[in-house]
Amino acid sequence: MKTAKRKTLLILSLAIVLFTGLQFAGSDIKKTPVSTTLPFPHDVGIILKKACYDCHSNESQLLWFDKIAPASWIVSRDISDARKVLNFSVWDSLSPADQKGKLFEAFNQISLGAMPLKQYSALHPEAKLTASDITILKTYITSLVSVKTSDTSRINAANKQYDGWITTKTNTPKVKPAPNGIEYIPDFKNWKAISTSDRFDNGTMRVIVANDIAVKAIKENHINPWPNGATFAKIAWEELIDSAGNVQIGEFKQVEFMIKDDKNYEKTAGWGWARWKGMQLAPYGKTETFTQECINCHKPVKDNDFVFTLPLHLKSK
Amino acid sequence: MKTLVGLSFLSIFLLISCSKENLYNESASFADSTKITRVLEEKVITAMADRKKKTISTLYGNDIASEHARNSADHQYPSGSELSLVTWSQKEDIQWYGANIPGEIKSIEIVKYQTPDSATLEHYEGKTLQLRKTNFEISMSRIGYISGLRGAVLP
Ligand code: HEC
Ligand code: HEC
Repeated sequence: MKTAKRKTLLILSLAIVLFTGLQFAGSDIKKTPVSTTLPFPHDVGIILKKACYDCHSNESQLLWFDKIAPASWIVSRDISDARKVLNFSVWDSLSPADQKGKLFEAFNQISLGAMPLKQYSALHPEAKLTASDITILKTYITSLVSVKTSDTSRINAANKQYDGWITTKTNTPKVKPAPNGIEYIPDFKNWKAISTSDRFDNGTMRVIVANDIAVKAIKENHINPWPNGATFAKIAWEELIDSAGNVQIGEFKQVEFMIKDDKNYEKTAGWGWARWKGMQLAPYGKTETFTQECINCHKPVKDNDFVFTLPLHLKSK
Repeated sequence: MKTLVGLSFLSIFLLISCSKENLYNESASFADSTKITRVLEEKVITAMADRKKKTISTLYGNDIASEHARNSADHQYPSGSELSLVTWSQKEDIQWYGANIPGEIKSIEIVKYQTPDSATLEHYEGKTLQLRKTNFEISMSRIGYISGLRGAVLP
């Protein structure tokens, strides 16, 4: 009896020592001063501050329980991951186009319920966004959409690219693989279209095509999850807009792929990701970690096997 | 009691069929019965949108037509070419604010080249794809418009 009591006491004191020790190890979230005043309207700024700043800025205002290890380790890992991909304190360092892209991405992460992180909003109820907060954000990003018609320089650029492409068919450039080793798949041009998307957020027209394995899965209603080998390509062109609101396809911008293989690509959400840009088909990404960006943005549709597109329901004959 | 069991089976069935609907863009797809389903399986030549009318269209071609559109800048399609312009009303993508995607099918216009100088137009309208009569002038102008669309650059 006595030994048992002593044992408990020993374990308890060990635990206390360990717990206190933990507080000095690892995690160290610094509050670096903010570099800029944000170019957002006041009400938008308030919303982003209350819901996102703890992770996506240098102004983290952590509560006492966030600072206690081991919780603080998780929090600090979240914060450093979060700052890497989106940091409002260095907003100025992004080009205007990238700023707009990030805001649309941020809005969509919110509206699909992916941000703020669930484990965070459970403990920080003040960070939950109300319907009116969401309306304010939506109105704001909608006001950023460009409505101007394309000038002649864009039309000329498209004509020039087309003329070059249509006349010189034979010498296809040798395309380098993506940094994660995925090879270019030129045959996507002959795949079947499953959707077309007019992206008014960034002024591009996209056609999404699928290979035979994916088309077979569509016809046989086996698309969630998609079978191994199913592959999508998304082709993007700049949009040319005239004063009557007609949108035509302009310059080719990029083509990107998702190749399903739950074994080979287990580490990247079961898909092989790759993108090639411009007529040179330059592989996108410096190292193989570029796929993190793809996965982060596709994550809100993870219940849909990370696929955004709801395909046309092609039917067998 | 029996009706209750029946009802719950029915609701389960409805639930399952609803969840299936959610995986596809059914409103933009053809109903099973149409004779022209092959159109959606042809090759893409280009795509376009009309922001005022809120429509989005994809131009498809059979092998002869797409081969031509991808290899020559003239719009003299060889015999046997078939071009199909499918037009949908646009809807907001529920998964991405910033994208408009096909909603309901509005029309399908199929241009068929019997010879390089003679083509016919078939015009189908609405979700049920009713074949519509078009007068000569409108047909000529639509054939001219559709054949004049430039192939999108595909490196
Ligand atoms: C508890 C910390 C936390 C909060 C609060 C939070 N985020 Fe995040 N966010 C992350 C982390 C961690 C990532 C990295 C990827 C992941 O885990 O999903 C991320 C990724 C993102 C991305 C993807 C960026 C990219 O390019 O890869 C966006 C956009 C984003 N967050 C927006 C927001 C917005 C908007 C808010 C406020 C409404 C918010 N986040 C609140 C932690 C947070
Ligand atoms: C900022 C968000 C975002 C990022 C980052 C992103 N995607 Fe996507 N992706 C989308 C959206 C939205 C769609 C749906 C189609 C559309 O409207 O453009 C999509 C669709 C696709 C598709 C067609 C299949 C599907 O899911 O609908 C492929 C293939 C694809 N993306 C590949 C990639 C690759 C490869 C990367 C990284 C190099 C990437 N994406 C990064 C947002 C993103």
